Amino acid sequence: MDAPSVAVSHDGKKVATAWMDQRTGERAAYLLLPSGQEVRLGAANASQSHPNVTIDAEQGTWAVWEERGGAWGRSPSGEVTQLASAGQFPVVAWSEKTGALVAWEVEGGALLRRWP
Amino acid sequence: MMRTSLLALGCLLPLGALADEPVRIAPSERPIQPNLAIGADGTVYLAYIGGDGARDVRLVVSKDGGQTFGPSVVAIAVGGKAQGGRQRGPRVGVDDEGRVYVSAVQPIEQGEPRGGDVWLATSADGGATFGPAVKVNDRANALDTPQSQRSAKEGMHWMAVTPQGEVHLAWLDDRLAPEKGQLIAYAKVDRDEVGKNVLAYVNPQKQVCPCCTPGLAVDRKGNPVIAFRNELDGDHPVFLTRSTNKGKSFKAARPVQRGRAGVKG
Repeated sequence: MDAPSVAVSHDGKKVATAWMDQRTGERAAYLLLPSGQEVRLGAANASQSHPNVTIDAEQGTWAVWEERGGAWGRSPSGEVTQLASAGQFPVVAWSEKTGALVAWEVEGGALLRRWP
Repeated sequence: MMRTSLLALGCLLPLGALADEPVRIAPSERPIQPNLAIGADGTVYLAYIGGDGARDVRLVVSKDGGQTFGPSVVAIAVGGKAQGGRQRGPRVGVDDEGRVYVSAVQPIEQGEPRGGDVWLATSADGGATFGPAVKVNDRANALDTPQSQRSAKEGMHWMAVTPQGEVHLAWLDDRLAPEKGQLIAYAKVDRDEVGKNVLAYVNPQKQVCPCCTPGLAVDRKGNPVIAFRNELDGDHPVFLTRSTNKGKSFKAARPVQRGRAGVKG
């Protein structure tokens, strides 16, 4: 079953958690921001799974997940982007030099892209 | 003019790797379960299970922000029989001195089903070569112990690295069976020295979710936080537990979401 994902800021003061649950009956991904605000990741009329999260140097939260057969992401501003039309198990990492990078698995391989 | 500009751009970017286009990783190796880390200098490290025929835990490195990758190297050799899937893949991390760490739960002696023991391999040369993997779970130390008796046999773990090179790992572990099922075990590894395994969470009812990989992160002071899916009263809510003494012990776990998760398992 889906693993939860957790990220912590360098100073240890900010923690973000992403996970899937079925409180409404469907598989839905959620993000608990360091502020304590809980956000539904993705569309309310679609199911989501396998979320992954990281925190950048400015303590912004980047989250990725599976939805409708592809990979999606939520930036620190709250903007939601389709990162890949097909893929599963997305993971996100961030550095000052590169910005956010996302890797995911596809049938027969793995892909990586910049985001945005 | 447009043609000239595009040609100039082509000189700056490697062929087939425009800035926002996805880059396919080691296509001939049919990689699965990629995991990603970025060094302080922007070097990109990607670990996966794959290979041309023989499948091991491998790593590729990019020096140009993920636009191109060098040839893969075997980080953890599993005799070409690496197993993984459903979030059972390897993890990769890097410290501020460029040491690269790759972890995986694999049956190193070959031929066993997925899972086995938690292994960590370190590269002191930026991912060009790896030293022998060290075993992290301290249960069933003998390599001839049957796989069914290995405490990490479910094959689910996560790993994170501090800037100073302390490696923190959490995994599903069933060393208290049959009285207890899967629990959350944790260990810290510093320069290949494996710390004492800590039972970060043991469910007083029976077990945590027996097929759910835990998540782990660590701050720069070396204090880890673990997220895991619990198993309580027929539900599978997500819990967090933190350490404020650099992994020596963990505080009481608490649920992340309000109310029931509605996840039956």
